[in-house]
Amino acid sequence: MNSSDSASAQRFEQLLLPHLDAAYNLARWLMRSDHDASDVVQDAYLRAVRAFDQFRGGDARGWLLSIVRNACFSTLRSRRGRNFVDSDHLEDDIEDQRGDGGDPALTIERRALDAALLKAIEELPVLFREVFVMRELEGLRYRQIAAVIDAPIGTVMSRLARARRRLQELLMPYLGQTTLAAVSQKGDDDGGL
Amino acid sequence: MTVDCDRARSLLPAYLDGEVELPPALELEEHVASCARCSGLRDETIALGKRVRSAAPYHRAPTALRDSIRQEIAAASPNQRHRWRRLAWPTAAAACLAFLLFGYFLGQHGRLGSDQPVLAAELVAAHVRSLQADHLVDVASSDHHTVAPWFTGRIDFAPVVVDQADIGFPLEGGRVDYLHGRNVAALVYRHDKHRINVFVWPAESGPRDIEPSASKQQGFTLVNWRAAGMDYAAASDASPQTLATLVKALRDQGR
Repeated sequence: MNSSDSASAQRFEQLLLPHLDAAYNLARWLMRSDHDASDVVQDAYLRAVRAFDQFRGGDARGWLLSIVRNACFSTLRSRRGRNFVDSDHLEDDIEDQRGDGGDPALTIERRALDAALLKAIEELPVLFREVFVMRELEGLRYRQIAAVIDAPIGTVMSRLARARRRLQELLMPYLGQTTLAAVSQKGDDDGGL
Repeated sequence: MTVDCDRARSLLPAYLDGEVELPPALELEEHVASCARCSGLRDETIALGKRVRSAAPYHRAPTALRDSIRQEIAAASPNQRHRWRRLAWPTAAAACLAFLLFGYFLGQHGRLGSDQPVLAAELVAAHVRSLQADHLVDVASSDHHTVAPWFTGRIDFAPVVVDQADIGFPLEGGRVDYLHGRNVAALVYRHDKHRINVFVWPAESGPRDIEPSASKQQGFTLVNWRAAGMDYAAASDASPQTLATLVKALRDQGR
């Protein structure tokens, strides 16, 4: 009995500790604060330890991320009230904010472009931000993301598409006549950031 | 033509994420190749992903958080206090032996001290992360003339970069990673289906050279050594023997 506890603790550590960075990255992007992210991740690991006998194998990272995500949402929800993840509201939100993202006079300075991009990602509504971060920074497949957020793949695709479109719109003023592809190409040739 | 612009625009993001089945993907490629607007959209979407991955930070867990979670895992296991008593003798003996050996290595090398296990966990996490986040290399090249200069200005030291394709370890590229509170160079080698991350950073103190020592951490092989005042750590799921071959070549090259 007790040696199986020990084996279970060891298995937990082997399966889930390597994904601590993934857990923290998602939490940090959702909470937007180091302190909150640490708290939430710590809490999520505790929940995961307790629920570990319900883990039936498979995608350990996805299983952990769904716990992290739920922990983030319950903290956000308790702070901002029940409706913070109302998706209709977010759809309006994302339309309303169109075009307020930058000074049209700015030319394509990559530093400014990157700063604007970063700000734009942080300001994406949380339901879009989580899908975007899991895809672009964590490299998850659509079906993995769908499992984490407990939604159909179609929802993942449409949120991802909207998030990307939104970012592209926000970058437009910075790009002027040129394109992101051209700017990035130029930067790569220069070998600089 | 079975794919028109509307359909192409809706399929493109999923296609670029590798999520479209082959037959529609082929039709899509055909359309995009012949349509300036859709190929522009494709280039912009690819560029956005690249910019995001270079501009947006991947937030790594602070060391303090890692430590406190480790402690929590140990404490959360019920009947923790009674566990040692009931451990089978062979396990206990093996644990003692491992502990003694570990102490011996620490005594031998006198480096990293109590930080060693933390660093090992960090190395594995960095290795795992590099494979998962589609962020294995920032500069993809097997040409060390491309990879070595790329590090200039990104880190405050110049790692020795050598392709080892002739012994079966082609260089895939490099990136800057973050380990143990500092930026380090990460060189990525491939061997069959295995990826090997070689992390390099300047040693803080102690001897200029330390013989390699291998360890297993969470199923991964780690090899640490020091050469010419630089600390090296190789991490991979390849076997220790395989890793030893690369380590030997890297050490010979550095001389």
